[in-house]
Amino acid sequence: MIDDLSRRRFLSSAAMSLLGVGALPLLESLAAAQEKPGSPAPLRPASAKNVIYLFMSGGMTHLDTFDLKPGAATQGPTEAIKTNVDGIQISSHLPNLARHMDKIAIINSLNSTQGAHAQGQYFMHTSYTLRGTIKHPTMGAWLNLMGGRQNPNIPGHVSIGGGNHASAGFLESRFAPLPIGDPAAGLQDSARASGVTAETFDRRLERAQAMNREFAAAHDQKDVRAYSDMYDEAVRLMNSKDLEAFDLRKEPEALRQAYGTSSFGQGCLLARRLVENKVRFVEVEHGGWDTHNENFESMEEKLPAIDQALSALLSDLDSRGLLEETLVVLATEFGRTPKIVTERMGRNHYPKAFSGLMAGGGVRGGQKYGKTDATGEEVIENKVSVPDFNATIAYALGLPLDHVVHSPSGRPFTVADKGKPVTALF
Amino acid sequence: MRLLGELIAALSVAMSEQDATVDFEKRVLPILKERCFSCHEAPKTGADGRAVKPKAGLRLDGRGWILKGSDERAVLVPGDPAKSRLYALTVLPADHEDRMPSKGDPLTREQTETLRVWIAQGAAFGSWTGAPGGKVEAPATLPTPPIVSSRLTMLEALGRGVKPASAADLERARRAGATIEPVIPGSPLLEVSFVSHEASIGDKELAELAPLAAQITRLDLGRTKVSDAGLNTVRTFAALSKLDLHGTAVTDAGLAALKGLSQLRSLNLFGTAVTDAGLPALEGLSALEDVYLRETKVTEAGIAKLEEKLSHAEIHAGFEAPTTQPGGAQAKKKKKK
Repeated sequence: MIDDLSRRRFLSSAAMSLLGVGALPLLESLAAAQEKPGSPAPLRPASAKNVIYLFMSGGMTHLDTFDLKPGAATQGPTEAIKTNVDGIQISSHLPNLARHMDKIAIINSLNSTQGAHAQGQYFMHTSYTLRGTIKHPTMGAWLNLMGGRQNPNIPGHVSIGGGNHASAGFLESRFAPLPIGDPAAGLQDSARASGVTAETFDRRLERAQAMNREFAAAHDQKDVRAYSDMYDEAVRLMNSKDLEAFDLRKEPEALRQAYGTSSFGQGCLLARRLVENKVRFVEVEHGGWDTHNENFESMEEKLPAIDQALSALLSDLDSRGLLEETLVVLATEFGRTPKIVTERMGRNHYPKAFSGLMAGGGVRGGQKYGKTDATGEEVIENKVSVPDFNATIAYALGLPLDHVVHSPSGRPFTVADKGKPVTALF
Repeated sequence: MRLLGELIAALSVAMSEQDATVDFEKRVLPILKERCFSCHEAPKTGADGRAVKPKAGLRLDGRGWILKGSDERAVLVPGDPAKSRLYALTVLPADHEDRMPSKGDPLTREQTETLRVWIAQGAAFGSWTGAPGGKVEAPATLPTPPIVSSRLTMLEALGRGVKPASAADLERARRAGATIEPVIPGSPLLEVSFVSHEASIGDKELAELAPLAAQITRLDLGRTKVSDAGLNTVRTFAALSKLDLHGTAVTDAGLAALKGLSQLRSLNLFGTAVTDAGLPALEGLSALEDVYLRETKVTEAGIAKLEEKLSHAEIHAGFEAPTTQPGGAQAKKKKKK
C-alpha cells in the first residue's frame, strides 16, 4: 500500500528528476514571468533550429587551442598545425578537428567583462551580469520561450554533464533544462517502479488528480496550474516513446567508440540523439579548464578527448543532414593569460581576449573572425562582446533580439541584452 | 485620508496636464536635484576622499546623460512612462528592492505624477542642457541587422505567385499528424514535419498533404512508415526544396517519383535501402546542393558517378571516424585497463 504522502513524494521526485524542477524552484518561480510570449515575428528566417552548446567550464586557454601565436614568447610549448582551410592553424593536439575546419567558424576576438568563474559563466550564459536581485534565463530557455518546443513529448531544453549554468531564470520552470548527470546512464527514474502496473499507476494518478482538481478549482491561478502541468509533463515523458532518445545503448558500439569513451564524448553523442529527436537546446558541459598550474600538460591530456568528440559530432551531424539546421557552439567563460606563470607553467584568468567556435546552423565554415595582437593579449580587430556572441546565436535561431520580456518585478529584458549579431559569420 | 490626498495631488497634476505641458526646468529638474542627483551625477570625490561614480553608470545632471541612460539600458522612453525607468521605478512598492530613490522616503504622489505626465507629453527638455556629454539624440531602438541569408532570397523567389493554402487543407493535414509552419513569416510556402508521431505516419497520412502540393517547400518524413508508393504524393510538390526521407522504407524504385522536383536542394536518404541503381533518378535534379547517403547500400563508384552528374552538389556519404590519439587522458585510461 502506498499512502498519500509517499505517492506524492513519488510523483514529485519523478517530476523533479524528469523535468529538472523541484518544489522549491517552482515556488520561487510561482510569480513567474508576466509576459505571455506569443510568437513575436523573427527578424529573418532561422538558419538553425537547434543548438548544441558545448561549454568549456573553467576558462579555456585561447593560445593553446584556437588562437595560436607561433614564435611569440607567450606561446609556450604548444605547437600549431595546419587545418584543411588555408591560413587557419590550431593546436597540434587537435589533429582530427583540423580536418573539419571547413565546417567551423573560429571567433578569436571574444571579450568579457567578468574575470571570476561564477560571474563569467553566468554572463556567458545569460548576457547579463550576475546580481543578487534577479536570475536571468539562459539561451535554451529563451529559445523554448520564443521559438516554441518542437517535440511535445520530451523537454525542449536539456543540460548534460552536471553543469548548473543553464536555467530558466525568472521564466516559468517549464523552460528550465532537464539535467542529465551521466550521459551513459541516460535519464534516471523515468520508468514505473517495478511492481506497479500501468493500471495501478493510472488509477493512483487519477485519484491524485481528482483531489488536485478540487484544489485547482478553488485556487485557479497560473501557479497552481503550473504545478499540475509539471506532473502532467512528467507522466507524458514517462510514457513517451521518445524516451529512447536518452538511451545511448541504442547507438552502435562502433559509433560510441568513435565519439570517445570520455564523458564529454558520450555527452556529445547524446546531444546528437536528442537533437535528432527535436530537442531544441542541448548543453554539454566539460570542466577542468582552470589551468593555473601545468597548463601545457593539461592540454596534452585534455585536448585529445575534445578533438575526438567534437570531430565525431561534426562528422556525424553532417552526414545525417543535421548540421544544416543544428548550430554547434563551443564557448567558455574567459581565456587565459598569454603570459605564462613560469614557476608553475600555468595561465591565469583572462577575460580580455579569448576564443570560441560556431559550426553548422547556417554558419559559414572555414573562417576566422576577429583578431588578437601578436601576443594574444589584446583584441585588435572585430571585438565580439559576450552579448554580441549570444546575439549571434539568437540571430541564427531567428529569435527577435528586441522582443522585451518582463521579469515578475516588471523589469524589461531581451535575449542577448542588446548585443549585435556577428552577421559576417553567416 | 491618504487616498484623498493622492487624489487631490493627481488631480492637480492632471489639471496642469490639461493646462499646459510640464516645464522640465520648473517642475522636473527640482525633483531630480533634490532626490536623484546625490547618486546620479558626475563622478565626484566623496567626503572620505574616494572617487564616487554615478550609480549604475546613470547620470541625471545633463540632457545627454539622461537620454543615454544607465550602463545597461535607457531610462527614458519619451511618450511612454511605463517603459521609462526614470518614472517606473519610483512607483514600485515601498519595499521593492529596485524602488527609487533607494534611500529616504518615496517620492510624493505629486512628484511621481509630474514625472509621469512630463514623459507622457514627450519628455521635452526645453532649452535646458545641463552637464555636457552623454548621448545627444533620443534613444534609438536596436537597428535591425541586415538580412544576409541567400536562403531567404531563394525562398522569396520560390514563393512568388504561390497562393496561400486554404484553412480546410491545412486543418486536414494537421489532423493527419503534420506540424505545419510558414517557412518565413508571411510566406505562402510551408514547412511540414511529423514530430514524434513518426511511427503512425504512413502513405495514407502523406496523401492528406496532397492539397498542399503548391505550398510545401520543406518536408520532413524522417523515420516515418512512408514507402515508395507514398512518394507518388510528393511527385507533384513543385516548390519542394528540402526532402528528408531518412530511416524510411523508401528504395530505388521510389526515387523515380522525385525526377520532376526541379527545386529540390536537399535530399536526405540516410539509413534507407537505396543502392547505386536508384541514383540515376537523381541525376537530372540540377538544383541539388546536398545529398545524404550514409548508411545506404550505395557504393563509392555510385557516388563518384553521381558527383560527376551533379557537379555542384555535396554528397554526404560517410562518417569520418576520428583517430584516437596516443598520449591523451583517454589513451592513458585505456592502457590502465
